[in-house]
Amino acid sequence: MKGNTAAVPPDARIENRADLIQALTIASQLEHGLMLMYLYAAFSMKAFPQELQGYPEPPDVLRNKLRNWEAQILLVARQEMEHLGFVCNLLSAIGGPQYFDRPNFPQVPMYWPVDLPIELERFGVGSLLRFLAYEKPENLDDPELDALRSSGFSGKQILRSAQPIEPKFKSLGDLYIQIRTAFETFPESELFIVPPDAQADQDTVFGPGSNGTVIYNMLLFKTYDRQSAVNAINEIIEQGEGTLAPGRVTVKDLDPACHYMQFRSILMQYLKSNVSLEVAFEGARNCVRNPAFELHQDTITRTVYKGVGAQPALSVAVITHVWSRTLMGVSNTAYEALMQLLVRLYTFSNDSPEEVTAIRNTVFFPMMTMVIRPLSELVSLLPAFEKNVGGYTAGPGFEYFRTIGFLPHKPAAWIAIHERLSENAENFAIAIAAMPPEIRKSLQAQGYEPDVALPFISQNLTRIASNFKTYMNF
Amino acid sequence: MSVITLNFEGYVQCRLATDPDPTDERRGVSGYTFALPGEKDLDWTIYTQPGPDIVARPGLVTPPGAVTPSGSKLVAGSPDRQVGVRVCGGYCGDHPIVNGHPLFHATVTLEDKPRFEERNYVVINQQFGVIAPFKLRVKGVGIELYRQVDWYPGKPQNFPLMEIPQAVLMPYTMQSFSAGVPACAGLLGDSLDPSVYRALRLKKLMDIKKTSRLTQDALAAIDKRIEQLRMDNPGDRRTFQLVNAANYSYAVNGPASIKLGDVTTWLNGAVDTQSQWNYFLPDRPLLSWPCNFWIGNWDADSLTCYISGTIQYFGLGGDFEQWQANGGKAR
Repeated sequence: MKGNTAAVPPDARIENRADLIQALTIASQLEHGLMLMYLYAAFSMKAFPQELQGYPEPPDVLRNKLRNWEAQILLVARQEMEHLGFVCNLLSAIGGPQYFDRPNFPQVPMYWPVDLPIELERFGVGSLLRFLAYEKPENLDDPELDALRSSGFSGKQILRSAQPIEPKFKSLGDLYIQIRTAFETFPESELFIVPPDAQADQDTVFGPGSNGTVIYNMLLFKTYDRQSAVNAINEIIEQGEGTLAPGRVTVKDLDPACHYMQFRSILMQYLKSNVSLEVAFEGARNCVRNPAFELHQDTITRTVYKGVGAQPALSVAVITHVWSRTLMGVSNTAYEALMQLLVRLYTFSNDSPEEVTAIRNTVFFPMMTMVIRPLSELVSLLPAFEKNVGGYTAGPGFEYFRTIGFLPHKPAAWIAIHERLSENAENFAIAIAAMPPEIRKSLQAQGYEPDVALPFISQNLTRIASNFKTYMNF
Repeated sequence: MSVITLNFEGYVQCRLATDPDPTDERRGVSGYTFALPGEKDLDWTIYTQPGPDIVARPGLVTPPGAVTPSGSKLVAGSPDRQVGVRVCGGYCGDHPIVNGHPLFHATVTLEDKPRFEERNYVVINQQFGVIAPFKLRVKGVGIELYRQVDWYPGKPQNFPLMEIPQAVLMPYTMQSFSAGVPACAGLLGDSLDPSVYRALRLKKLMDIKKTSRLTQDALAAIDKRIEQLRMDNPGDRRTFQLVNAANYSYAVNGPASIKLGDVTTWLNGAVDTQSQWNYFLPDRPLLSWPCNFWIGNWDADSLTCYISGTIQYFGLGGDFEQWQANGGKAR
């Protein structure tokens, strides 16, 4: 199948099904990467009064502010998850594979055609400016933020490096506009070759009766023809950038709930606290950039940071603290299991409705809210390096150690996933039994209650594995 | 054999995090319930009686026309949503439980820090989970009735809930969910409308903010509540939960006791409190006591909801029969 090239803008590169699948694959990686960057920033935020002493404002007032900003960032991350779901549906509709693979963090600009750096960085001015660069509509004039860029804030360099050089896609929005153009112009009857029952919607994610209802600011629907595909892409663009309007726009033209405006609002409020107070307010823990269990082959950078001096952007901090490494291992394995389940869910092969329900009842609430988030928050409190070099803490690396692909043999898939869930539960139980006394003391000093929170996570990990086996009836 | 049927009702408080937050989230982030500046952390516990654990927020005023499910009219302008579950009627044998009866207005308490155990579908694949532990004590004048649910008969009392199969717990989950319950709406005053009720609360908080000198904590707290109360639409959990109810039907089957005067008697065995596992040693059969109730009228602003239900007691033993024959007096 070829598109009607006469109708395709001359700068578009998407000319056939293969190109469109390729572009959607890039979109999938980007949505996935953005979601994790946002999550990393959210999970790095301070949450305990012990962490918020010494500022002019009372600790509870500060943590209320941080909680509100974290909620905004988590909302945006959830919507990125929804966007990833839309991309999965679009891929499915045109006969593409589900794609949850991505390179490990960090990736320098140039890895993706969008030409922006991807890395895990704690909450702060720098990360917020980078998030804004990703979500900014191309046609937006935002003089207030432009002035900020040139005023010497720490995000300046990152924004400068974010300027496109020879982009294939000038921005995330541009990528989606080109994808939309393809869906608008390719012959509809030839493009949609997979029935919509092979796609996910609100019922798939939240259970029967959820279709058409916005839940947690998400509304996933199936894309089975030109119009529904265009609707999905418009939803992605509007949620991110806040407008579909052509021509120059200002921030007043944007939907205040869009990602760009959410980040902009957080940044402006944060700067007010960060700059105007006598003591600059630091809202995040001292988490390293791009924490990793090891330096992966697919990480373009070879720069390893060891805690001495300021950490360069796009460097990898290989965590050396032994117990923190153990916990990172559990966190990474949980993340991989989560991805394995998502690939299975979105692929819609020959899984029965009961099996789809079982995956949903494992992956969304239990794994995302009771495992990934608590583990991520926990590792952001743990020392990054032995002897606490530099006073840095770790963070979730969201690392891939192997390809996350579709496990084609169903009974084997259930066994493999259950094994991973069970082993993870066992490893975590072993780890917390061996928690060094100084870690317990350090966590308690920060306000965390290890003797309550860790057994809680452990119980949940064990129960999720056991539930999965029961659900899958083996 | 005498049967006691007790009707009970009242507000409870449960300061719990709501999904998509993890259930042990301490302040509330991405759900719609929060610990506010100046308040202690969320503790996820269901409190059925007043006490130091209750966190009362300012601006809770009973609206005109509010009526409890049993028909009691609440005083307009009085403090609203005061925690306390009590017997509001029923029968003790043939005698109606009315004002003056030892069980009238008896406190109905769920003991030992019960929680809605569900953990975002980890404990059980059901929205509201099980109320665990379920240790119900009714304390009247000179009489106390106690029984707890034995989740996993044959296993120790302290058997971890997290190791009990979902199928075993399922009878103790919510049996049905009712939307637009008139008894819940009655608590909202003449309008019967959750949006109107929330708007009145919002106005009250705006007035407090305007007329009071507030600390930084109190100001941030009231601003958070105002922000949440402004989010009002019929499809929002903050709004529709005020008129919805979850229905439960528990067979209270575990260790049971009665206390008459100062004398406590185990009715169906004894609990070995010395053992690590806290075994219950049954030696007399005792049928389960049915306890049917709903929990609803959930107010995300005050973190309170209403409970209304009935429990039946039988097999209370000779001492109880004597107590009843004596007109509600212990021997």
